[in-house]
Amino acid sequence: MESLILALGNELMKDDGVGLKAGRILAQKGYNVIEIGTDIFRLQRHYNGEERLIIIDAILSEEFRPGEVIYLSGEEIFEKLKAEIRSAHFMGAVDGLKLLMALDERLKNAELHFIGVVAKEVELGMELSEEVEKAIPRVVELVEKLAGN
Amino acid sequence: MYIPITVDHIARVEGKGGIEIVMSDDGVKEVKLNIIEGPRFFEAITIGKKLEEALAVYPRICSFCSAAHKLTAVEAAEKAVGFTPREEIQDLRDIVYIGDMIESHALHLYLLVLPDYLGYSNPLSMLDRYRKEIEYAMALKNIGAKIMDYLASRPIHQENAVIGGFGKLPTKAQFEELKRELKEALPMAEYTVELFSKLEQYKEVEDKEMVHMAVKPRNGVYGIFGDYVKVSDGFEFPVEDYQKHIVERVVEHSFAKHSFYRGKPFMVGAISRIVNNAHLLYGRAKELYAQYKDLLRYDNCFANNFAQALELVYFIERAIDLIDDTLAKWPIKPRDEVEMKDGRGVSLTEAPRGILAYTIEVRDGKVAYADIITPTAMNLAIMERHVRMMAEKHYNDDPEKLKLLSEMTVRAYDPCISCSVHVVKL
Repeated sequence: MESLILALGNELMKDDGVGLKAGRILAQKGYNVIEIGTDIFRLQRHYNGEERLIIIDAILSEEFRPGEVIYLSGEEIFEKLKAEIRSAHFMGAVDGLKLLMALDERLKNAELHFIGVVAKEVELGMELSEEVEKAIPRVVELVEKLAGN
Repeated sequence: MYIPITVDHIARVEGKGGIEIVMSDDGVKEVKLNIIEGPRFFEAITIGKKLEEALAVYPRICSFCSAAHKLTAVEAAEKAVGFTPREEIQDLRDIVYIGDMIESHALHLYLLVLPDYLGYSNPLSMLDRYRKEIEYAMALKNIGAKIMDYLASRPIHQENAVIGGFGKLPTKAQFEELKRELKEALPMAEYTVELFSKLEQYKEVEDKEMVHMAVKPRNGVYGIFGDYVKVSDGFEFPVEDYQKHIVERVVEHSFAKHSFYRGKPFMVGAISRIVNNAHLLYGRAKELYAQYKDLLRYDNCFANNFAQALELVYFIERAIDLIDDTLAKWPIKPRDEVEMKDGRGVSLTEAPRGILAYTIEVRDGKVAYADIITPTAMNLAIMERHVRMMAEKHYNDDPEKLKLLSEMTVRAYDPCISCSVHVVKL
């Protein structure tokens, strides 16, 4: 089963860049990674029918501690990540993904995974907080586990 | 009695912003656009960085306008070090920038504006009945993205565009592929013009005092790069003087400064380009301009939507012509060596949403000063005026109707309020 890893975020906003940084490590290891940034619609042009999609992103949570790695899959992604804030742009990544899935049968049938790292600082700056930096090896490990056929 | 009507997060604009309308018994008391605007703070990140490193940061300000930020910053940097790119390199930059323009206009028109007019809350819910329109949006967006992908290498951050030219160029076959797909996209752009010609431009915001500002295209053809700014009152000024004529002021209710020209708000964007530069259109867009001139009104911000539709046709044809020019000169050397010198450079370009201004000062190969004003920042003051006009006409109506019309007014400007953050909440 082919996997596509979607790295989301903005690395100019500290912990919001965690998805991109983890994605680059995975790309160096030879995984199929696309840097989405804050525009989920980029996926459409770079999607080649992979059966498994793994999204890596920063999340804000009052319930979990900074640096915690949250894993969601399938429908649970849309149920739990409903309340997007400061979302990019008009639709937000989750709603954008829904639209793309409605337009592409292959995407609709793909296995979906979401790995979120709870952010500590989402403000101007290019460094990750210590807690989020430390989470990257766990993210990489989890992706490798999911992507291993 | 005051009744505040608040839209906390303007749905379907790029970023986060809110509208606050305070009503009193005898009408509208106050209108505020509460804006969090990011780019200003990014300037600070680049001070002291090596020029090439800083040029890798600017396009990250916005995923949607990364080409605009990158190419404007590169031009400012080249001017700072005293370098002028060859004509064929400039043509290639125009093509990349057009990719950004097509992608941005298609998304704005179909996914942000159209749902309001058709009575849907978002594009997803339109899909059953208006699948063709959503598919056109994605197809147009994709050709824009493909142009940027092929020429700027990485689709989001444009790392292939560098001082002196490009890291590498697409193959001749890739240019031919782009040309073929642009030709296929043209009927969709014409359909967009027809569709948007039918949408109402609300008279409530008609404003005879509207002043429009746009870059005067350098080569006498409707476009993006230029050395002067044209104002619809007849005044022109060199881009280097923008800080004299575009005066920014801090306003209490917004993190973003508001911009004024001769003490008054002004507009930038597609309609501002049409108002100032329509005589430089050619091809099918020129014919469509003649046919629909009455809809391209200087006094109504809703005309910006239709102007973007017309620009889709224009920029697709223009990209085809620029690709033909490029292929006629093939092979092209991608880059010239640039000698680093100290200096200050200013570039004003036409981003999808209007004038984007960059000043970069280089000292010892590092950025010593940077100033960025985005089109949305330039439009904030006039946007607020027009939301107020809309609110004054509808303050007795259902608050939901007022909210929708106020949001539609803001959306007509296609604001990119802050592209900086997108985290999801669990």
